[in-house]
Amino acid sequence: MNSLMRGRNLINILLLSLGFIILFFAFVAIFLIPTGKEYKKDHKNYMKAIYERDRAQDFHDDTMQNLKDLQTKNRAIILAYSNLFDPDAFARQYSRYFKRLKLTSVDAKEKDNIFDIYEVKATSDIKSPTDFYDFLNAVNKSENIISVEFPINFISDGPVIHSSFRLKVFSADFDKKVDVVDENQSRRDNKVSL
Amino acid sequence: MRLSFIKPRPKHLISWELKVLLIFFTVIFTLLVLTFFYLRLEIYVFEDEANNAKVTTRQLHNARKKMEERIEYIKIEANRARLIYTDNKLLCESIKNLFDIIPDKITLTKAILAKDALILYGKTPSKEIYQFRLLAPLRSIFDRSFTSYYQKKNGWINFVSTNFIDSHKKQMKKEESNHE
Repeated sequence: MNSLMRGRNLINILLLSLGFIILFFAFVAIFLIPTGKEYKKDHKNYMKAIYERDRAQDFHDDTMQNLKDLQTKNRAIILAYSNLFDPDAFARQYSRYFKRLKLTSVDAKEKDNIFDIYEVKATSDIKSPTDFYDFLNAVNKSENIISVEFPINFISDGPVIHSSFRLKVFSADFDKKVDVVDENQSRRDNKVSL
Repeated sequence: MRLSFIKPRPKHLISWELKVLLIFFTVIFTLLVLTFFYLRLEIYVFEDEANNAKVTTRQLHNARKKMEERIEYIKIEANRARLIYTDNKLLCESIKNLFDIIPDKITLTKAILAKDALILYGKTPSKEIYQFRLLAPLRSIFDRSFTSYYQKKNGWINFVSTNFIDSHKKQMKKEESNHE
């Protein structure tokens, strides 16, 4: 009777072990192996994404540093572009070079996406051309980017010289996304050398 | 009344060996299931982190692109500004040179400086003085020079000197100077 019991017990143990082994391999095959593969793939993707993010961060930081350096280097120019042109303040500031200086606003004929261009007509009485040279030199130190444009007229009238010329005041929005056009070359061609 | 000579023993549904084995298998299976859930959780975390990293990468890329556009823009604007400054200086020099070549004996009454031209109005004591002292230097600068004269009552001669630089020649000269 006892041996019969032991035999049954042994059979139970064997059946249980067999069942477990089947369950074990089934679980591993159905769930663990595919999940492990997925884990491996996702881990690889994760590492790749992290690497790309770090690389993008490095590039971003380098570019930002370049931008900051450029902004620092060209601070005066950027400020000059950003400053609003005030004809009255300009006339007051530069009246010392002329006996009489009058600025008249002219409708901007040239307008593009990059610049708002203002033109002002200046008529002045100058005692000698030296004042005009000094004015041209001083214009470069102005709070705005100003270009003196052709034609320039000088008319002698006794002790004074009347002069008239045009000034172009350039402005640019550095926070605005723009299409870049290089018209430097064409500007350079517009100057006559004597 | 006793019906058996032996003492009754408790009967179990499963033996102790079977119990131990069952506990062992249960623990093993639980560990397997826990491993499975741990892997699922890690996969979820990796996917989430990877997505976040991709979004950040895209944002950084866009920000960098915008900064590069700004850098390009600033470079061009700065170059333009420098060119304007240079042009103003050149203009100043040009006007200085113009007035320097006017001899003392000739008096200018009007001067018009255009893009490729220079028109001078003035008076001279004689045509020769004008031709040798002013026209000659003007001809060395400009490609074409035309002068008209008219006599004044006091003996002096009024003149109008029109001088042109041909654009294509100017371009050629510029290219030559660039090659040099």
